[in-house]
Amino acid sequence: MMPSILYITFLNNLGGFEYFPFYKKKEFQVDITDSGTSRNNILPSWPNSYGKNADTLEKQTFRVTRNRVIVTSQHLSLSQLNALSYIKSSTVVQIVTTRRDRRTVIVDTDSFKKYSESDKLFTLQFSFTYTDEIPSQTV
Amino acid sequence: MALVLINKPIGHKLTGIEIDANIYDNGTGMAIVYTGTAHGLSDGDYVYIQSDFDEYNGFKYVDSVAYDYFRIRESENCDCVRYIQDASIQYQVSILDHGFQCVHLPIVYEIESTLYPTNTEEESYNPNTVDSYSDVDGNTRLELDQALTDPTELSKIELVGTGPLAGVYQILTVYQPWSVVIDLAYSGSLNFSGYVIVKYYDNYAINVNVYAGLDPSHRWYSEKPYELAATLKFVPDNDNRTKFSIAEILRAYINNRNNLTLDTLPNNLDFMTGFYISYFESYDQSDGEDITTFEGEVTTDDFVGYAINAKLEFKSESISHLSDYLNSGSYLANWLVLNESPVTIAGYFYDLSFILRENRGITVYQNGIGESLGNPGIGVIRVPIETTEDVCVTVWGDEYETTETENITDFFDLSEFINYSEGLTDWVTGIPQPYVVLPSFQSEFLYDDYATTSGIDYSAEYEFEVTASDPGDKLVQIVFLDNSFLVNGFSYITVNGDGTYTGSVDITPSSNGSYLAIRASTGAMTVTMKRVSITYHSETPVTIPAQQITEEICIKVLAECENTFIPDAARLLEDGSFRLLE
Repeated sequence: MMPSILYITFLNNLGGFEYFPFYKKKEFQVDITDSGTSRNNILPSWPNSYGKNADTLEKQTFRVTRNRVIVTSQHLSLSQLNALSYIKSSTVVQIVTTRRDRRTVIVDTDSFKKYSESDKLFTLQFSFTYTDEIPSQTV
Repeated sequence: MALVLINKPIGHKLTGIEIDANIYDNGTGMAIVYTGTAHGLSDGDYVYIQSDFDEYNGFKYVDSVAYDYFRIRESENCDCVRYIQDASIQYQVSILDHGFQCVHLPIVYEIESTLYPTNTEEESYNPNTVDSYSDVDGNTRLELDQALTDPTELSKIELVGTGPLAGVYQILTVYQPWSVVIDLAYSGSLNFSGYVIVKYYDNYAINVNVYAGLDPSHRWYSEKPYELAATLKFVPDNDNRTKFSIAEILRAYINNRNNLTLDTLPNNLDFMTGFYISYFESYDQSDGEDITTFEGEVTTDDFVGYAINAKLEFKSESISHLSDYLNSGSYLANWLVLNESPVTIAGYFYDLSFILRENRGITVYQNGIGESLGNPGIGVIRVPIETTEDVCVTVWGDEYETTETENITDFFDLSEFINYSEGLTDWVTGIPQPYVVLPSFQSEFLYDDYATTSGIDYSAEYEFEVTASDPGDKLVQIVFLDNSFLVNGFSYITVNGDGTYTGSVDITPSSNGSYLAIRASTGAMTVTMKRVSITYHSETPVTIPAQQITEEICIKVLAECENTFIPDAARLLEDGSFRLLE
C-alpha cells in the first residue's frame, strides 16, 4: 500500500500559516477515551431475565472513540525541522484537502526530542486526533 | 493638563547601522549625545542606544539641540535622561516608527497625573501655608496665606509634610477661600510649620477608553468599525503614574482560526485590529451639600496602533515588536513564516502571509509575473500561491499619491548672522556667539537668510545669556522678516534679570518670509546668543513610486506523483531502476 499525502497547515507564532506535506507511512489508531455500562435490573422480569432465554446482565451505554493518526515526517533539513516542530506548540492545526475542505485536528501534548547534535538525519514524529468522535449510539 | 500620556506602544524599525558617539553632561545634569559630525536628526526621531550603562540604553526619543548633539528622553513627554557619567555609545536610527504590536505580548501605555496622589501642581507652583489657626466648636479653623482651589464644605484638603499632622482632612465650614474649618480636633499646641496645604482629590482615578476596530479610511471599515472596547479605571501609583496593558482587551477582537474563505481575504481580518485610546480623570467633588463624581475633559490620543495575532520569541532579534515584518524604503518586510524552505504539492492550496502597513494597492509577482490584488487594506495579507512549478514570490506596492509629513529642524551658525543697519545698537558679529551691549531701547536685527512659508507653524528653540541688565522686564525677540525686512512673524521672550534663558517659542508667519532675525529691546542689558534652531512640520504632496514590500521567498513545488517516492524506502536495482521497500 502506497503512503498517502497528509497535507497539514498550522498557525505559527508570527500570525502566518505553515504548510507541509507528510508523505511517509502513517499509522492509524482508534483512541477509546471513555465508555460506560449499566447493570440490568433482573427483578422485574424474574425469572425470564435470568433463565434460559435471558439476554444479558450488563449492557454498554456509550462509547467515546476517536481516530488517531501517528505521523512520521520524511527526512528534513534542520531548518525545516525547527520550523515544523512548532506544530507541537500551535493552537491551530488543520488537514487541508482543498481551500474549502479543511479539518481541524488536535496534536498530542507529549514532550518530544527534536534532535540531538550527533544526528545526521532529522525527522519529526507526532500524533493527532480528530476533534469529532467516531459515531456510535448511546442508551 | 492634569494628565500626560508619557508612553505609548510605538515600535521602531532600525537601520542596522551603528553610529559611534559619546554621552556628556550638558551642564545641567542632563545627558547629551555628542556625535562630532552632523547627526541629521530632528525632534521626534528615535534612536536605539547601546552602552555599558543602563540609564542610556534602549529606545530614546530625540530632542535635537544642535547639528552635532542632541538630548534624549524616554518618550516625547518625559523628562530628559539624566547624566550619570561619560560614556561611549553606539546608536542606530529608527527609520520607521509604527504601531504594529503582538496581541499576545503586553501593549503598554503609561499616563502621569499632576494631581494624585501628589498634587504636584499646587505643591510645586502654588505652595499654601497656615498663617494662624483657632478653635471652632472643637475643630480647627485654618487661616491660610492664600486661597484654596475651589474650597467647598465636604471637600478635602491635604496637609503635606513629615510631621504628625500630615494627612487628609475634610472641610467642615468655609468662611473664605483662605479661611476654613477642618475635621482636626483643636489643640492649642498644634504646630503647622513645615506643612503645605493642597487640595486633595478624593477617589481620584485615571479613566482610559480603549477603542478597537478599523479606521473609516480602511477598506473593511464596515466589517470591524471602531467601537469602545472597554473603559479602564486606574489609581496612580506613588510616582503619580499608571502603566497598563490593553492587549487582553484587544485579544477579544482577534479570531484565532484558519478561515480560507473569509469574506475579507486576502486581508485576514481575523488576525488584526486597530486600536487607540482616550483618557480622562475623575474624582469626587462637592457643591457644599452633595458629593458627586467629576469627570474631566476627554483627551483622545492620535496614535493609532494595530494588534496582530502574533507573539515574538523572547530575546527576539526583531527587538521592537513586529518591525522585522514591516517594510520601510529599501528595508523589506519578512514573510510571516518560520520555514525557510517551504514545500508544497502542486494542486494543493498554499498561501503566504505578510503585514501590509499602508492602505495601498499591491501586486504579487510569482516568478516575475505580476497579479494585482487591489488595495486589501492595512492588515495581515494572505497571498494564495497557485502554481505547478517551483516559484519565487515578492509583493510590490503600487504607485500612489499621498502627503508626506515630517518634522524638520534647521540649525543656524550664528557666526554668519549680520546686522540690519537702521541706526540702532549693533551686535558684535562674525563670532560663534554674537552679543550686543544694549544701552536701552532696541538693538539692530541680527539676521540671516531663512525662507519661511505663510501659515506654517514654526517653533524656535533658543539659548541666550543676559548680563548687566537693568531692573524690570525687557525683551528678546525672535522674528521672521520678509524680503523688505518687514516683520511677518513675531515672538518674544521676557527677560527679567541676568541669567541663561532656554526654551522655545512658536511663530506663525502671516506671509512668506526671507530672513530669521533676533532683536533685544526695552532696556539696558548685554545679550549673548548661544544657539537658535527652527523646527517645523512639513507636509508635501508626493508620488510614492511602486516599490518592493516583501523579501523574496522561494517555494519548492512537488508533483503529486513524485511525492510518494520516498528515497529512504527505495533500493537501487542492478538494472538502474528502483524497488520500493514495504
